[in-house]
Amino acid sequence: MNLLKICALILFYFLSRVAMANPCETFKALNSEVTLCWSEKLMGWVSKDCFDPKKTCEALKFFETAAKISDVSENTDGQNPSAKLCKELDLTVDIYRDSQNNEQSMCVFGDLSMVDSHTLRRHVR
Amino acid sequence: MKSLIALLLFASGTAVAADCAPMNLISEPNSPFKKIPVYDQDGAGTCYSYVASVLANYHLLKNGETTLKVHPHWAALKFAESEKRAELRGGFSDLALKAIMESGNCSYDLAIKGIANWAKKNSVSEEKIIALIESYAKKASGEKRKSVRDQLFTKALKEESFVCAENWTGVFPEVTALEFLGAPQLFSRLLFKECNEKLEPLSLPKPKFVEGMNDQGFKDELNRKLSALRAPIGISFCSGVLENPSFKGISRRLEGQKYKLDYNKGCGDHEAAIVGRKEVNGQCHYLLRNSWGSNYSSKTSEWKCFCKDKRTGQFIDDCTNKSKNSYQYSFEGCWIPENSLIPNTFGLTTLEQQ
Repeated sequence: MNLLKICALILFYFLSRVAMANPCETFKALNSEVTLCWSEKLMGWVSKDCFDPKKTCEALKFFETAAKISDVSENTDGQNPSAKLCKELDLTVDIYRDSQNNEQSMCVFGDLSMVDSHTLRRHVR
Repeated sequence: MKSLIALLLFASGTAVAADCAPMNLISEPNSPFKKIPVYDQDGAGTCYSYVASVLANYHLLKNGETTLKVHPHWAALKFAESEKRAELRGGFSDLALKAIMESGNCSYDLAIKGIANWAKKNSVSEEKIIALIESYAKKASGEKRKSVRDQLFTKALKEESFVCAENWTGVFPEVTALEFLGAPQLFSRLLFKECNEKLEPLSLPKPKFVEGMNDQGFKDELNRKLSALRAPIGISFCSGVLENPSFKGISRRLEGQKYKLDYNKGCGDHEAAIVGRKEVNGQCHYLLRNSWGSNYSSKTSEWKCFCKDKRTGQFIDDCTNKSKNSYQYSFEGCWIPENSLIPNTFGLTTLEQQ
């Protein structure tokens, strides 16, 4: 009986770890797809590899070091202000579609890690 | 006296209710918005082309079509060609739709295929192609010397921060060999070759743009059209209000029969689609379907957005960044109060039968 309880506890532990793992989704562009995972800390989508502590990730480094920006132009002339901000920060912007086929612009860093543009803007504004 | 006051109060309440009868084109049964995605126009100033696409596709899907027909990039291209513009940015959805109706439509899938093939050929994204061609066309305006066009193309590559500029050497000559053409012509020749060979007629109700009204005029017109057409309405407005609810981006002055506009600093000319309305605390709120991506929500916590649970398909009418900004929800639109939206409105676009 004790062995059964121990096994149940171990199984519960692993299942809860799986449940708590960052939810991931495949996003598709015209000719490529990427896996992004939801970061509760940043409240946004980030490259899956960024969650691997063994790998470096420029996208996460950005959030650790970026200061708030107060002088970015608010006048976007109708452009997506978050995508515009990424370009002003010398980042590439790519459009991906989620599981619902809805589009979302992603800011792409030099190491090809990415974060959704609105999350980046919310962080630096 | 009391009964007169009561009657007046009842009448005013009824008037608000009549003007702001609730509707939601996204959540209605069999809504075309099940197939029309939330778009992201990226950093391009082509908001009008996304509105053109939404208005046209909503009408077509509601009237028997089963797939999307009008692609935003095609709408932008046709607008720029018809208006003889060198760039795709800064246009009007009604003119874009008229241009497509006159010249023919490229099917949605073929438009995507054209861009995708070129993107694949050069191992770059769709956005990079559009940004590069716009940047190059702007620089090369009127330049006939090929050697100079080569230099300008290299400059455009650097400015658009291409990760692997050498990918372009194969098609460099293809682009720069063309005698100067504006961005629309470049797109048409390079990306949409097949489109131009397989144009289809596009039949829509007449695109109509109204302007030159005051706040009350725009409010009455918007409510009237929403009730009569029960279809998305393109709204041209100052996007500054989306960042600051008390922002006022335009001043109106009466000249003759029409109101002329003076744009205030930070207006941010923009166009989006109104797809619903409801009354909240005596004020009409309009559901704005924007083209800034599915993770865009109201910056201010006072406004609520309209979301969809991606797992269940259920709609939730009171999303905010804090309450529902999770992997589980997509933001389909946001509710903007009339006191914020209408004073910043300078045009409405509809599709109407003659």
